[in-house]
Amino acid sequence: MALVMVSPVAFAGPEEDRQAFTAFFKSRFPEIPFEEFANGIYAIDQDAREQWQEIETFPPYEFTIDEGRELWAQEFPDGKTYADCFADSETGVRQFYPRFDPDSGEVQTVATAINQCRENHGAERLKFGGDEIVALSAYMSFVSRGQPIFINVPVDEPSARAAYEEGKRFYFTKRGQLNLSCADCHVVSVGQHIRSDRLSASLGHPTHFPVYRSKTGGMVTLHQRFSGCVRDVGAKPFDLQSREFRNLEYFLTYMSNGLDINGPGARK
Amino acid sequence: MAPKNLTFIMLAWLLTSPLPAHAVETGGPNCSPSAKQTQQTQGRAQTPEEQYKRSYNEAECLRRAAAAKGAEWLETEKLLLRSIEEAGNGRWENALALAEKGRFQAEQALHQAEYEAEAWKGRVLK
Repeated sequence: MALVMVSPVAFAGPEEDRQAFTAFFKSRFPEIPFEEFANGIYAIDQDAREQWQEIETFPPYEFTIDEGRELWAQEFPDGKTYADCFADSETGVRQFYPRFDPDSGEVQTVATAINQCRENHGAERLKFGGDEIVALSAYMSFVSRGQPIFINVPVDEPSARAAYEEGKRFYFTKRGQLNLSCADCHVVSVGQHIRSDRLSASLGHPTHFPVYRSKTGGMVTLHQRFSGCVRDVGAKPFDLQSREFRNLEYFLTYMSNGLDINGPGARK
Repeated sequence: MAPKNLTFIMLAWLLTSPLPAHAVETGGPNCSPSAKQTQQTQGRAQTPEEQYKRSYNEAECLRRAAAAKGAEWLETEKLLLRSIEEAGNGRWENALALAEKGRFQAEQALHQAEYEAEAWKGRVLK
């Protein structure tokens, strides 16, 4: 009770948080329909949107999807495939990740679920951020296109709520030599210019990963993007798929509940 | 031209020579509060080498404390590694300046983490 009195906002439930989060962006950009936020910066920046639409004519991530499709069908040493690990995988499962895994007591992302699947069936774990796991993730996002994000923070799992809160804390905590939080750029300054680019809205951030970035000429995962942002504010990044980044993904993806998966995507 | 492995040799030397045995066993400086006293010189002015070692050890302890809170800044470790290189070449003033920069960054990172422990709550959207 004392905690609630001291800071009721910080301890609001996930759904209250999501409603407030959505309401902020609706108020900030009243002309943009909710579903448009799935397009990230292209919901806000018309010039960039036109370039993006041109890029999407010949999607640069298409080969990655094909590679992922092939990997998905490959058999593990015990004869099983990824489809044996992911129920209803034909209709897509990306929209349900990250999820809280009661067995490990931790947040499981698509990447950690892929490796868990491999381990269970006698295959070696893949390197996070490596070509194979990115291709598989891209394929899984592709299969889930059009499916609304549906992240759950189970009320009967205190560890799930703790993970969510840790992600929320990460998101709003200033860090690094520039003393900036995720929210400073993607909430407070959303739509403002940072050099020649405009800052995207956090609402919809997780819908389109992994993305092909023209800047790097390759695919980038959400955690690599997290790592880049943390580095940009002058803080030492956490490892890909670290507890910190998985919990951040849990919070951030919950905030985008209801938006359609539209990955893989293309970004500048 | 310094040998390629000079950095590692210097790091090992730095972390082991002025410190108690248990610091050597744990592979790093002794960051306990009592360690400061053991590193004090007795009434005489410190040599540049002693000043550097003391500054480095304090900076490294602070850096580790910031890292434990998930609040380490990007360049701090690099500054301290560069200070080791300078020390390896006997450039104690440069080494000390870099260690002091590293210490400043680590201190600021810790202040930031302590402040943010509560401050973030005020930024949650409502």
